[in-house]
Amino acid sequence: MRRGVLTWVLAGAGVILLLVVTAAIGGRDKSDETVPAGEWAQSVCGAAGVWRGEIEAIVEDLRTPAAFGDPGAEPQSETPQSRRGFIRAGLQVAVQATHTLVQGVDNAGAPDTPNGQQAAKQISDWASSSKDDLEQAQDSLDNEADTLEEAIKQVTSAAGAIGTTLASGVRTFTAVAASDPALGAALRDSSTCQQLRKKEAKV
Amino acid sequence: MSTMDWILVAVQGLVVVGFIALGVRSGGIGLGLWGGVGTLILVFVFGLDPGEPPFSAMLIIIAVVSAAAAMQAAGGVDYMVVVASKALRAKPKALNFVAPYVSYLLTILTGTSNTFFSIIPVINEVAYANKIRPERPLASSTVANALGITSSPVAAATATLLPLVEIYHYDLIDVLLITIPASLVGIFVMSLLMSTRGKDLDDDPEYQRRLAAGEIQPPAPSEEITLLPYAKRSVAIFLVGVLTICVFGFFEGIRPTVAAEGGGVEPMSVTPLIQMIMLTAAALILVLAHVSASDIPGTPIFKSGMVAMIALFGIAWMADTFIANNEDAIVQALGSLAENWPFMIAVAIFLVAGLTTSQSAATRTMVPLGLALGIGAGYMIAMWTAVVGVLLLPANGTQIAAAEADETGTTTLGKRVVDHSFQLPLQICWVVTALVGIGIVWLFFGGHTPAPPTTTAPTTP
Repeated sequence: MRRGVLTWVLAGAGVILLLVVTAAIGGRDKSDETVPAGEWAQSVCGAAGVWRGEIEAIVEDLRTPAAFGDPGAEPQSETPQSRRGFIRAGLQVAVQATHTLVQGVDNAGAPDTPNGQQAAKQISDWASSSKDDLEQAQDSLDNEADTLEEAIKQVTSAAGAIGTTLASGVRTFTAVAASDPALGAALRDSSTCQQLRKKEAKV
Repeated sequence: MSTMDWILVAVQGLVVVGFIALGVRSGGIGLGLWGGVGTLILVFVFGLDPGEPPFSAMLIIIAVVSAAAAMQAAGGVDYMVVVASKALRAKPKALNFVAPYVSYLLTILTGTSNTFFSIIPVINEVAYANKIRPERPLASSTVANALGITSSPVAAATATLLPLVEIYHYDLIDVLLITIPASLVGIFVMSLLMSTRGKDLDDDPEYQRRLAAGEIQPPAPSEEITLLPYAKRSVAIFLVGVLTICVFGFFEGIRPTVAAEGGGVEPMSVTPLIQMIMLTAAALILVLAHVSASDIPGTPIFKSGMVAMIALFGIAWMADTFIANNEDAIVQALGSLAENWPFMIAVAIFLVAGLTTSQSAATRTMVPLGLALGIGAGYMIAMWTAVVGVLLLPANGTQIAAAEADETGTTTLGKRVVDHSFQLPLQICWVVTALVGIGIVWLFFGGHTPAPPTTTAPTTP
């Protein structure tokens, strides 16, 4: 076999090996299972933490203007129209991030505590409704405003939707922890939940 | 999205691929010209909003090429060839290993692959002078350079990754402890396999044709190179320029500050710094190495650099027009692939990076998905190195510049879009790096996220 062909064969074998290894290490869909509360808390807080990180990045993007020296950007190009585009892009990313959150929460299954099923549903409902709210906010930008005041309201409420989902998330987690002491302890002890609380405390 | 929408996206994708194919067949600035036609069709026929031409990369090419061409006019490139040839005398093929690691290091230090433009001509000249097929070190170095992004603490893609994995207790040091050793191994394996890639120059038909047609001069033995009086000085100025960029790139605190939100200040981006420093280096070479400004446009480095810039202009503009209008569809399609088959996550990261030509976009969209699918954060970091997939299509500035710099014709952008010189090293490098990274996580990070607590009993009321 020619040397060049052999190298390609090796590269192809490498890709197959990588797929096999990835199949062996990852992907745990426990959406229909009951799992230990600690494991559930770990997964759900992990998904919420990743989502929060993405939302933080969106907010940072919205806050930061195009500065001098920013690659490919000109400060004078930030017109009201592009700012609306900016918010739209932020919402698009937020919807995508929340879709991923819904998936992460659903994959975590339900905790094996007395109110486990209900708690899992509560968190899942919050994630799903957050996604719907953000999608709605995104759609609202498509409507042409009749007045300046209406346009401003449209833009601010669209941006505000991101903050609302964050706040409702904190409330939901607190409610879930309070409704089931065993689950509350799991949410307190889990390392990802601790990390999530640390991040919340920083803001 | 409806079936009709998907068909429309597919047709637009075919237009992009078709014009890239036309461009690479034309070669040279033909790539840019056909890219411009493709952009026109996407805008006028399909009604897409025009994307952003790659202004930053084009300006960097102008600045870096000005400095490198000034150095060449001063005889500096010849001097570097002599020095490198002496250093490599015992083992000239060591260039196939040294060049990729130097390119990788440059990216780590500056957080951008744009610094690589400055050493492309040097790698090419040293390879040719030592009768090494330039494709070997050039293609490997281009891939190693792109891979350096995932090992750089100052890269935008790394900054995008960190907030996603910190919830799992992985900080910057952990990320680098996974990506750097994995990349070092990946680059080594790639360089090893690439060191025998293709025919030697003496047997390469395209090179021999160019040689016979007088399109290229045979390599002069380094002993026969006559050095110009200020050659050393021009090299010193050029290297100090590159070093200065690295220092500013790595230490954000010493960069000049620019206006930020609320009247505050923040460090300037490294992109304009590269442009300023390289233009200054070119000016200093003019003055201190006694080069006439009129000699610079006549140098081979200047000519190939300008061709690369025009090629990049058209092709990257067309690619961005397609991507800016269809990124969501691309991400959605590949996201679904990973959702249905989680073992495809690394391939999905690679493809998203390749089809959006953005490492940050691939990081932002695919890493959270992998984590949601239950793949351990450490493993996701290892597989994140697949964002090197930005080189999948020959629409990247460094690929175009490397192909243009190589006058022997061994480094090509291919004829069928994906059969370019960078494809094989890319495939080897990303797979090996991801596998080694997974091995490192499994061995030293205990695989998944920190273990969940074993007890769920409340500790306090």
